[in-house]
Amino acid sequence: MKKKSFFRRLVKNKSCFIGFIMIVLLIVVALLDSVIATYDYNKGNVTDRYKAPSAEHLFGTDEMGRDVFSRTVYGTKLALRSALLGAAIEMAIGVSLGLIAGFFGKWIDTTITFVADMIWSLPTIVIAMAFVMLLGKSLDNVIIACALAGWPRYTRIVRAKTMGLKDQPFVETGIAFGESKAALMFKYIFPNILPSMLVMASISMPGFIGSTTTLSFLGMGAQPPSPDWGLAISRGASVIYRAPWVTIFPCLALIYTIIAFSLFGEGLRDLIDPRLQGN
Amino acid sequence: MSTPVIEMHGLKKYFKSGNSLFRTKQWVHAVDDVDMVINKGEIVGLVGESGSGKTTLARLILNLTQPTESEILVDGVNPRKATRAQMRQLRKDIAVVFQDPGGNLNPRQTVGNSIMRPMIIHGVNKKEGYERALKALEMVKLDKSYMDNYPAQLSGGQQQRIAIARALVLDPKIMILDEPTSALDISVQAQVLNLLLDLQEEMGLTYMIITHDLNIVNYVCDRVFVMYLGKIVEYGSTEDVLHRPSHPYTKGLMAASPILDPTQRDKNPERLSGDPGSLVHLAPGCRFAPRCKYASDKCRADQPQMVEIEPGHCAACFLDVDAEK
Repeated sequence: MKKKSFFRRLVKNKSCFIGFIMIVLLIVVALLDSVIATYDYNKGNVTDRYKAPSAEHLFGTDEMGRDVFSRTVYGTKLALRSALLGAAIEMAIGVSLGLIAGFFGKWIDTTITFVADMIWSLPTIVIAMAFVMLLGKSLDNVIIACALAGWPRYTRIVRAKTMGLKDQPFVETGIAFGESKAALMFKYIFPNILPSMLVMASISMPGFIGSTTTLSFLGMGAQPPSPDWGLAISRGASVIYRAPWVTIFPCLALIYTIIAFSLFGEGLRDLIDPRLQGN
Repeated sequence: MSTPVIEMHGLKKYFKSGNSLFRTKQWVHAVDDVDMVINKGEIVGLVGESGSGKTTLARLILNLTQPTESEILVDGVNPRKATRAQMRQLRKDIAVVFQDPGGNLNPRQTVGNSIMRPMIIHGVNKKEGYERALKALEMVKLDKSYMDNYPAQLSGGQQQRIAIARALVLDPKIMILDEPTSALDISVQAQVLNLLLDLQEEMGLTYMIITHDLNIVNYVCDRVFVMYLGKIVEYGSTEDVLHRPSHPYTKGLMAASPILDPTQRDKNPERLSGDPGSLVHLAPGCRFAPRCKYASDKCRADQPQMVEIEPGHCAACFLDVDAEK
């Protein structure tokens, strides 16, 4: 019964519902990419380079004569993968460090908070670039680097919530019954911060897609001939006046994805945890 | 008959406060030099205004916070020096119910799981735990259909009864009850108190009940400790303390409970005025002196010691000593 009413509220919240539908569409495209795409993303005819959109090539062709529509469709999977995988890694690091810092306090807290604040005080992209340089250029490394640069956003909130929950009578009763520290963290505190963490994750996902695409655009992420959107945008940028379609369509796809996750995330936040607003 | 279960002498707990770069460190004297012995099978009440350190004392006994000075012996064991096995036994033997009904239960755990959790920690298997949880629910007069509910779906009174049920499932020897009934309505309050009394008779439990409500003290407690600003000011049997209070603060507390006869209201001369003041800036003398109408210069200069007025009834006030001379 509780679930049903939650779903009903989800449908009622317009931004959440529209975002949800948009994400579902994205996932469908990503799963059925080989069915929807009309050409192989890696095969092109050099004589067909920079063809304008037509019935044959819906979005036109790029510098190698490859079909931009098919490449954009194949890129969807990469974008979704980096968003979900990245958010998961980021959340895992951020939440566990936040729990540890908030729960144990003292010098452990001071150390973790110091590192988190240090990373947080620098622009995410700069930190992520530094990590990519250390790890080597590839899309997977870009995802890891962005997660390593973004975890403090979770740590700060989880730490604050943990410190608040730690003094709640139900946690103290748990201690009085002889619960272990691990049980207190994972059975008592963690379930109570999980909902707001999911909201945080869906809110931070657009930013995450933005960061990974930016790094690919800068040539640090996906390498040719990957159909990654960031890469496609960067390669099309030099010919944007001659063949704008090479850049515009991956850009639109990126904007669509970011809007979808933003709408969904913000709607979800209003539904689950309105207190996170303005964060 | 009198084997001490909880014993403390000169117990102190200070909290740091205002510890910033530009202010000097200050101490909050939450529990200051408290002596208390609770014997096996006793029901002891602890009364006092909000902020007098009652809950801190309870948390000290539960080893949720460490004393600044001295130590507590629970069942002859000092929790700070206890071995793992002793600690485990202690955790099993002492149960607690805190005052806030909403905060007592994990919001993400069903009632059944909340009640079964302590048993699972202490090695009771799931099936037996379930049976015992049902029995415990029955004891606090709740239907077993509540097992699968989440705390948020229940009323404050129901939540509090579940917290009491959970405290009972491990057959503890000592129960610390911090305002156990303040969230319950009168009829349920009576049920719960009678339940506690029954259990005490059957199993010889020891209770420490923290409360504001002197009626509860009168109804269930064998002995009472009166606490004011971190210190015990008077203690003795319920009969002695409630009917022949000696310390001016205890008299004030008595006077503060509602009077049923309307014509008698506003006539009580002992009623307290003002507020307890701060636990940080303490005057050198008796802590109650600023509010005490009998206070003399001596009271403002020196701290009175605990003096036995009659057998088992002690108070820390100069007036009694002077009266005897």
